[in-house]
Amino acid sequence: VLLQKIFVACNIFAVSRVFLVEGCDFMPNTTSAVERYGPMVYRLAYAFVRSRADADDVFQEVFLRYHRAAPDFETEDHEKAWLLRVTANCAKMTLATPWRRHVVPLEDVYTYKDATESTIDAALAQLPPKYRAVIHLFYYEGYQTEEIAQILGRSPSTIRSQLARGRQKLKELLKEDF
Amino acid sequence: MFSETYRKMNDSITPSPSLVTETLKKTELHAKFPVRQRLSRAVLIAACVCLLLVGSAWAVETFVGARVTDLVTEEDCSSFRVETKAYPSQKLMSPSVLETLETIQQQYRLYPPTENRFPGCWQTFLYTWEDCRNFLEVPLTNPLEDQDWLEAAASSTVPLCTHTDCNDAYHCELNVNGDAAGNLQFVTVQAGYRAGDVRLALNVSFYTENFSENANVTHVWHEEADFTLDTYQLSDGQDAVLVVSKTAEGTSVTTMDAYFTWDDALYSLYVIVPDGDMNTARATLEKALDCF
Repeated sequence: VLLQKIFVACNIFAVSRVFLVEGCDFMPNTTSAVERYGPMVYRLAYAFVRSRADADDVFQEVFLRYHRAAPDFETEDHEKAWLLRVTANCAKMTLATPWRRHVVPLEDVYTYKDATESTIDAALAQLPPKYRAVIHLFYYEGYQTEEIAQILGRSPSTIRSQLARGRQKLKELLKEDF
Repeated sequence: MFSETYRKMNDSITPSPSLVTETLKKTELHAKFPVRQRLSRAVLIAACVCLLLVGSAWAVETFVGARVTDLVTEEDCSSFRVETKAYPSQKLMSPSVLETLETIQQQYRLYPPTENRFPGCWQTFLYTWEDCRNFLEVPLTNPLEDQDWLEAAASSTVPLCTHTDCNDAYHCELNVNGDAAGNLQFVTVQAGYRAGDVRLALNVSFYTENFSENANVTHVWHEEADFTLDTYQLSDGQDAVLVVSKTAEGTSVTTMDAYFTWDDALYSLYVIVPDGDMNTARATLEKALDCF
């Protein structure tokens, strides 16, 4: 009985030691996350703020939060959704800053040589940031409205209506190009 | 057509290598510090429930006027949030505001993309507080206008122009923000004052129900800043919340703000003194608050 108890105690110790070592050694692999999801984060940030400087700030803030929070993700999709959600929140915070510059220098925005691309870019610039974000997640990231709703923390019906309004607005602005 | 072109356009939008390097450097810096201990989920849930109960009771009992929440101090970004109750937009429907909302709607329609100016904000500079009152047709109480110890100064002199000669012609600045549908989101009116070297600004904000349920605004410093909170009682018994914001040594900007509500609007008073003398700042702020 004594030996059994010692054996059990040793096992508990061993298990807890493994757990502690794993717990202490756990560091988020931010480098890998930046490599895999950096462009995705940057594109959504830019879709919201339409300024390279602000998108840079959002990008840094998102990955610093990722590093600090060191979240445990069950799947890669979960990790992507988390990063997009945080990007959206950081971008919204940037837009809400009271003394945010209202005029962004031309060199701070992406420009396109192709005429169609320039027209689309000009039309997108006229949409409110929340519509641009929904359009980006739908057309570029390929998410469905229910998934976008989860990412942005809004109801699916709100997302559907924002997507419809965004498309309508783009149709009006782009006419045959849409 | 749109889908394909949009994809192609976005393929060219990528973070620059220098941004990636800089970001990773920053995360490395954080890695030098010990990883925070994680609390168990049960402890966190219990703590949240307690906070929610205590917080709700506290909020119900004490949330009158303005409150300052969510103080964040980080190496590259610090912020705090000021909250108050939403102001009914219907009370702000003066002919001038209605006209401005139409202009804002037009702004959305004719948004010039090359400027990349976000539509929705309309700004004007006015000579007197009375002009602002006439524009909005609300009481817009401002006893600072009648104080002999204060000299009217430019509206946007705090804190940027403390050491420079600003154009003091426009004493007031009025901002109207609306959405594309013509809904009024918020209105702010700001006036600047000078008492010797000390600069002071009064900002009156009307955050409507179209802006958010609980009107709130976040003040952000893009650097490390320490915030100290205090209160000061006004003549109506309300506690104005005082916030002292001190940025890291070297940049040496120290400001003192006070937040309170008057006629249901959010009033913010900002004081900055050239040499960061907090005693002078506090005395000036209290003297100004005593006027209300």
